[in-house]
Amino acid sequence: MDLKQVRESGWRPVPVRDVIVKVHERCNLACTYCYVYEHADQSWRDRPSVMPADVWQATVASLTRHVVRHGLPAIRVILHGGEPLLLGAARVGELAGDLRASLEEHCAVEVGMQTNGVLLNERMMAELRRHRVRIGISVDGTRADHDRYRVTHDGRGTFDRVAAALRLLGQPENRDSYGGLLCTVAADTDPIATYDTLRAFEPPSINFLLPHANWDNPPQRPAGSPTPHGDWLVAAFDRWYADEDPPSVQLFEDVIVLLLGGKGSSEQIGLSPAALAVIETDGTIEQVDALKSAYPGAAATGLDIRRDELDALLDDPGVVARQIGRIALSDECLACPLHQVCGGGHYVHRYRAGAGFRNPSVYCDDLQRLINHVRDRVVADVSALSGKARS
Amino acid sequence: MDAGSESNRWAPLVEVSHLPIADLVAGGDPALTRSVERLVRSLDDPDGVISAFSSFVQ
Repeated sequence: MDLKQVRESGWRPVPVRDVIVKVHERCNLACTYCYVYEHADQSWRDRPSVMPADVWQATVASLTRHVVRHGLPAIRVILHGGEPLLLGAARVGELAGDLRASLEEHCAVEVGMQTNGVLLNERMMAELRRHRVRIGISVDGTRADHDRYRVTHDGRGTFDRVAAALRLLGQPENRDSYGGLLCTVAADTDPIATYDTLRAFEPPSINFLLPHANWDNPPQRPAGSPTPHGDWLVAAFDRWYADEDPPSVQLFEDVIVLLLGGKGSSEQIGLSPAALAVIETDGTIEQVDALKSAYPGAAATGLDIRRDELDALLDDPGVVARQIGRIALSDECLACPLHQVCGGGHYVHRYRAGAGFRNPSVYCDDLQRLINHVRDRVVADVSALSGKARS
Repeated sequence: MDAGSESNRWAPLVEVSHLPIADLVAGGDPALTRSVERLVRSLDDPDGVISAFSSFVQ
């Protein structure tokens, strides 16, 4: 990519707004599909288990300079890993406190945490609630399905412990801390049972993620349909759309918003710019770490938070590619009218060795299936509303 | 972009310009309503930036 040409075309980078901070590099689980531990990139092995104090302090200082420099009205910091709760309640509280103490005089600060939930107990919950940390928990559906994939290092399922954490989060005093659920789709599971199981935990939001895969490592597809993931998502969509009091489901709402001419909010769909940075335990600044599923070093930028400002990330061709919209798409994508909605799908899912990321998504057919279905439903609803408006 | 316009070329976007926003918000299914509300709120954020944490999306 010719960055000079891109800038001369008028594109201006969007400053980083979401920062994922890997406060702990290890995990108490061994989920079978994890992009950190089970895919091509194994850089976690060479990184400190816990983010040292000097790296953390440099991160907070850098974020503060960043929000002041850009006059950002808000910044989102997600404490991540590995498993961030391995730090313990007191340390997690200190980190959240540091962020607010340094940043809140300059902008709104949203502190989130993505966790497997297994270590979320009352003491930890109280600390996270005290520091207004919003908690996202990964759950992969029914007990049987979840326990196939989200297991401890000795192969034991974790559903019951996660369910206990979710009951804790669902208590009235903890609702403000309840961010939502993250579910990685397995095409051979029952989408209705999955949705109903997640729904029973009364989350404010659910996000369904297609498992990270690419053209060289395609997803496992059960026989019987050319679009098993698309079929799964369609069934889950219909269940959600008919729900009289549905939680927010980011992927489905993104499709509807994009169909109505708006902008997506997630990496999975749409052409919105990715203004994300990842700070690893060793201080390296990286692109979104799902890229690790493509090839070793795919997320690397050569930058370090102790030495480089976050804006240096905006000169990285990989970061630019995720901000310039349709220019980054393949000719095949641009020739398809659906690209206005799908945006080529998740960047990571487009990878093919020798061809980089300028390809359709390995889930292209599945995305078409979902988008066409959602469009049909929305068109029908809009037609019905039009009829009411005329009468 | 009108689904049935011009050369009948299929267009992905759903035409709603003939409907008042209020009708879309008040009359649709809850999921559609929420999506329209999100669309309206996003007018405040011209960059429409991806969030890494879906729970932060309003």
